[in-house]
Amino acid sequence: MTVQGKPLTDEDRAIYEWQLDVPGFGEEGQERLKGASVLISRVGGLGSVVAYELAAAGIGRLVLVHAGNIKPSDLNRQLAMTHDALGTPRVVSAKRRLNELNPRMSIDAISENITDDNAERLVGEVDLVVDCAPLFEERFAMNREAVRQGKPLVECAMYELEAHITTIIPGQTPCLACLHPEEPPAWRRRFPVFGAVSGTVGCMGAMEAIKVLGGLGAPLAGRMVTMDLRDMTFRTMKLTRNPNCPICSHLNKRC
Amino acid sequence: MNITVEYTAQLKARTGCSDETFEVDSSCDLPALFSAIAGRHGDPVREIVLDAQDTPVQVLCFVNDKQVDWGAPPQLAEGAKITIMSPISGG
Repeated sequence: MTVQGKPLTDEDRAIYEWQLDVPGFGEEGQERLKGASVLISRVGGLGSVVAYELAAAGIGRLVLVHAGNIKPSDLNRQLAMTHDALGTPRVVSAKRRLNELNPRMSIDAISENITDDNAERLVGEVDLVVDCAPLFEERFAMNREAVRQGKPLVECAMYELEAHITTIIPGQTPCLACLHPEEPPAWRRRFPVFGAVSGTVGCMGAMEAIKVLGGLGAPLAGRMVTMDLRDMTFRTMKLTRNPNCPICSHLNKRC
Repeated sequence: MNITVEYTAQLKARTGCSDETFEVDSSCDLPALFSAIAGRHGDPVREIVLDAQDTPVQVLCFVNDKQVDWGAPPQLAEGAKITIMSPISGG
């Protein structure tokens, strides 16, 4: 993908010198990150960590989307939330915490969730989307817009001590609807999980975003990494597009 | 023939195991295997793998690590390994 980079300052070079030495990245990759914008749908257990790692890496602009106020049950995993902010909007806490780490970045904190009504506008504002949302209706809305607008979409998910991640490149890889054609009937909003599980896959989601935006490595395009942290089993599964997918089958490249 | 079935997430919790073996007829196809899985474990598993018409819900499924195309489910063979990935999300 093409991201219009922004020139680095001496302060940038001082802050990012450890990652500027990464082969295949360098100053050109850092400039791309500085010029890039990322939408993170929900800054909960997954999204908090994705946002924190992207802030640390020097992404230029984050759009954080998450409705509601901080509840006690958020605090086992939502690392952008703080105890003293209980009862206040999640995105306000997240923005404050991220700006403590990186005051140079721009953050749009939007206290709403992705819907069919706002997905076009919100996806249209960024270069890449990271899906950390719990509800399939939100995820499907994001997927539809990401495919329609040709924006990469990093998909992160978790349950108990398990998680998986894949990166959707519209027209090249399966989209979310190829993997799950319909809303799963037995899916429940609340599920068991540790913060260390969401943190693990959240870091991987941030790394995928950095790779796609910074132009290094091999993103999980058409592949899904699954992990079970109960026994530390990691597998990579090859994914295939659904030739009858109502969302992406009109795009003709095959992975 | 013997088929190994692996489960993830909710399915692992509801079956109480990460994998198990099914002894099935050589004519058994994937929809029939899903019915056998639901039959062994009852409604908590049935509601994930079968719809109201007892046809397979199109969960993410792999046969020998190759993703199943539900438009043309593959034939099963002795020793096949089926991985059924229960849908999961963020949060």
